[in-house]
Amino acid sequence: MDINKTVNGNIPIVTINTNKFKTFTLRITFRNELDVDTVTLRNILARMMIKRTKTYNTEAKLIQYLSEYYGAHLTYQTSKIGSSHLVHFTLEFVNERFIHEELDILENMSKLLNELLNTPFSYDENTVEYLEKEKRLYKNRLKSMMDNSMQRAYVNLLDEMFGGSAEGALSYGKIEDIDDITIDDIKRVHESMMSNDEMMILLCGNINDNTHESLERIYSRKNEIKLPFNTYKMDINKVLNYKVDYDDVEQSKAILGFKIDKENTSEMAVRILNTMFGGSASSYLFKHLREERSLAYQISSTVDIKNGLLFALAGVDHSRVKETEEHILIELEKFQNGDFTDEFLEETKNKILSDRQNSKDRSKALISIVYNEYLMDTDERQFIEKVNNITREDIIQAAKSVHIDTVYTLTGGQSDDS
Amino acid sequence: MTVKYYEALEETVISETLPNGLEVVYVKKPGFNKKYATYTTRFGSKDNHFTVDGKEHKIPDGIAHFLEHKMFEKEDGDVFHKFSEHGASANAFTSFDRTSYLFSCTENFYDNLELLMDMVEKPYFTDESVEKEIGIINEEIKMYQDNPGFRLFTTMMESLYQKHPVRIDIAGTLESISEITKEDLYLCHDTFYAPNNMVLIVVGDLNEDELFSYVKNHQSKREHSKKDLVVHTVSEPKEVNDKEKTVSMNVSEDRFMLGYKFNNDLSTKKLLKLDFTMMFALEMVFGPKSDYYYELINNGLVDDSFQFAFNGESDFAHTLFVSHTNDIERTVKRIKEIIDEVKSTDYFTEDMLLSEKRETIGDYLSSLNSPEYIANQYTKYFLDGGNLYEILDIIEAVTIDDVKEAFETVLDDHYVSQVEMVKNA
Repeated sequence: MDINKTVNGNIPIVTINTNKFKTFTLRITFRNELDVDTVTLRNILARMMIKRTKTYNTEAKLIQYLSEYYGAHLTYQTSKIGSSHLVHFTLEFVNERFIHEELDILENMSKLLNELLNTPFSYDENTVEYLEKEKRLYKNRLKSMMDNSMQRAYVNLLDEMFGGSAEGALSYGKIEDIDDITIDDIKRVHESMMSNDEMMILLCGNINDNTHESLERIYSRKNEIKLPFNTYKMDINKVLNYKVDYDDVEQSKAILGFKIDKENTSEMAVRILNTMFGGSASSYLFKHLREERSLAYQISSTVDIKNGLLFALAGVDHSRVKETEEHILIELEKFQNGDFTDEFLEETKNKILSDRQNSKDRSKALISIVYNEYLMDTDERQFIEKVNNITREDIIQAAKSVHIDTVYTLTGGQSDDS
Repeated sequence: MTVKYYEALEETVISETLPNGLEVVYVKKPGFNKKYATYTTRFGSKDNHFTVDGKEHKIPDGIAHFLEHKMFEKEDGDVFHKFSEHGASANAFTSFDRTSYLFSCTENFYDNLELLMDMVEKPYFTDESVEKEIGIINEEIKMYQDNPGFRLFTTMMESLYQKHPVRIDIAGTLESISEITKEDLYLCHDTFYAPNNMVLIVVGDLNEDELFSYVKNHQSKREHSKKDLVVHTVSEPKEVNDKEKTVSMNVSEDRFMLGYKFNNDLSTKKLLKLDFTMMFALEMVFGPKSDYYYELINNGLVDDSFQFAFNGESDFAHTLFVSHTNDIERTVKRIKEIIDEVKSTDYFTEDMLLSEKRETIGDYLSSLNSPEYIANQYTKYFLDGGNLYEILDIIEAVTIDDVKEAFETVLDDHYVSQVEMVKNA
C-alpha cells in the first residue's frame, strides 16, 4: 500500500494504492466551521446533489446510469470533528479487472462527480418541487431516528447541556430547521461550500497511470483553501444538572454527560481511558455493571476527544436508574484512584493499535484515517508512538480531568430521581 | 484438503472435512491485517423439539440464544475478556437456524483460535450463572421491545405463521427463559454442538498448512460420539394466522408491514435461484429505477424507509414490504394493485433484468472486500447447501421467464398479512 499526495487545480488529491480491494472508493470531502444556521441546509443540499444531476435529471435516470457501471454506489455523509462540519460525497465502484468489460469507469465517474458538484449552480424555480420532496423525506428520516429511544435521550441530553449552540449541534441538523428552507438558501449554501470550504479528493484502490488524469477532471479552484482546525473549549460546571423526561418506553435510558478539562490531559490518554471505562466489552462498565450486577444489557461510553466530551449510556429497568448512575460514577472513580492493572492498560493499548490495523482492511475507514491524518498533520508512526507512551499516571490524570455535568433520564416508570 | 481457486474472483478457498465430521474452510485474503474466524452450529431458535438417541425433548423457547450467552462463561471467568487479553474482539449471534461464535484479531491468531474452539466445545453451567443470565437477557428482550422495526417484524411473524417456530422471538420471552435449567443447556450442547453438526470458517492472510494442522491437532483430541438426532418440524398450514393486526407504539409516523407467505417445497438449488429471482423481480417493480417507486414516494405513501425483501429458507418463505406512511390503508391497497398490474401486463424486460444483474454483481464484488461478510455468508450458503463463490452462475442463469413466474407465484394474495403500527394517542 502506498499513499501519494498531490495538488491539482488547487485541490489536494490523495491516492491510496492497494490491491486488496475489488472496488475503488472515491471521496470528495468539504470542511468548514459548523454553523447552526447552515448545518441542516448542508445535509439537504448534499441529499439533493447525489440524487439528480443536470444530465441525469431524475433519480431514476441517475440510478439507471450508475447501474450500467455495475451499481456504482453514490452516497453522502456528514460528520463533525472538533468544531468542523464535514460533507463527504462517496462513490464506490468495481475494479474493471473483475467484470471483463471495458467501461472506463473511473473516467466516467470523475465526469459525473464534476457535474454533481456544479449542478446546484443551475437550480431555479423548477427545482422547488424537488427541494420540497427532499425536505419532506429528510424530515421523516430524522423523525424515525428519534423513534429510537436511546437516540432521543442523547439528543435531549445535548440540548440540556448546550441549549441550541454549535457545541451541542449534531452533524445531521435539526428537524425544526427544515420547513423554512428555500431554494435560495440551498443555492447560497452550495456557493459558499464550493468557494469557502476546504476541499479534498481521496481515492483508494488499484491505481494506474491514468488515474490522476481522471481525478483532475473532478474540480478545480482559483486558490487552494486551507482552513485551521479548531475545537470547542468546554466550561466545567461545578453544579450537577439533572433532567428526567417521561415517555412510553419499556426500558429507561440513562445518559451521563461529562466534560473533560482538556488542558490537563492528552487526547490519547482520554481515548484509552474511554476504552477502559466503557468503550469495549472488557471495559469496567460492561464487566461490572452488565456482567457482575446484571444492571443493564446496553451499557457503554463514547467520547468526543477533540471537544472533550464523554457520555456513559445505559438501558436499564425503570427501578434501577439511580443505582446505575451511582455505579457508573463509582467505576470512573476507580480510574481516578488508579484502581486498574497495568495488564489491562497494556491490553487496551494493544486493542487500539489492532483496531487501527483492522480499519486498514476497509476502504472507507482507510480513507478516513488518511483524511484525519492530513487534517491533524500527523501520521501512523506518531499515532503508534503516542499510544505506546501512555502510562498509568496519564490514565489517572485523564480520569481526574473528566467531570460529570448532566444526568439525563428518559423513563416510563415513576420518578426515582430528584 | 481441497484447494479451489475462483479465477474470475481471484479468491482461494481451501476446505476439508475432518475425521470427526467437522467441516473446516479457509478463505485466503492476501494483504489483509484482519483475521476472522467463525464457529457455527446448526442450532437456532427454531430447533425447539427433537429426539436424540430415542428420547424426545421439548425445550423452552429462546434456549439457543440463552446457550450462546452462557458459552462465554467458564469456571475461571469470562472468555470474552480472555479474547481481549489476546487482542481479539469476540462476539456471537443466534438466528432461526444457527448459532455462530466469532472473533477477529490482527495478532495472536492461534491463541484466539484455541480460545474459540475450547469455548464452544467445553460447556460450563451452574444454577447460579443460569439464574443471573435471565436478568441480562430480559433486559435485552425489553431493549428490542422498544425498537419499532423489531416490533413490526415479530408481530408480522406471529401473523404469518400459525405453528412454525419462526413466529417465536429468537430470544424467547421472560416466561420461557425463566424455565431454562442448566440440565437443558447441557442437553442442547451435547446434542447440537457435535463436530459433524458444525462448521469452522477462517478468513485472512495465513499459512494454510499451519492452519489445518493446528485445527486437526486440536480436533483429534476431541471426544465425540455419533448421535441419532431427529429435529422435529411442524407442518405449517398454508393460511396465515392473522390477516390484520395493529400495534400501537411511541413512533413519530405510522408504519406498516405487508407480508406474503409462500409455502415452498423447493430443493435447495431451486431455492437459492428463487432468492435472486425474487430480488430482481421486486427491485424491478418497487426499486428506485421504477416509476411505481416514485409514484409511491411522490404521493407520500412511502418514504426513504421503504424496503422489501423475499426470504426463503428450507421450511418457510415470505416476502415483506415495510415503510413509514401517512396513510396505511391507501399504501397497502396501492402496493397490492401494483402487484396485480404487473402480473396482468408484460412488465418485465430484458434490459431491466440486465441492469439488476449488473448491480447485484457489483454489490457482490464489493462485499467480497469484507472478511466478516465472507465468513458469515459462506456459512449461510454452506449450511443451505450452496456455495458463496458460485453465486455468479446462479445470477447468470436467471431468465426473464423465471422472474415472471416467481413474481406470479410467490406473491399470492390469498396468503397475506398486514401489520399496522400506529402512533400512541
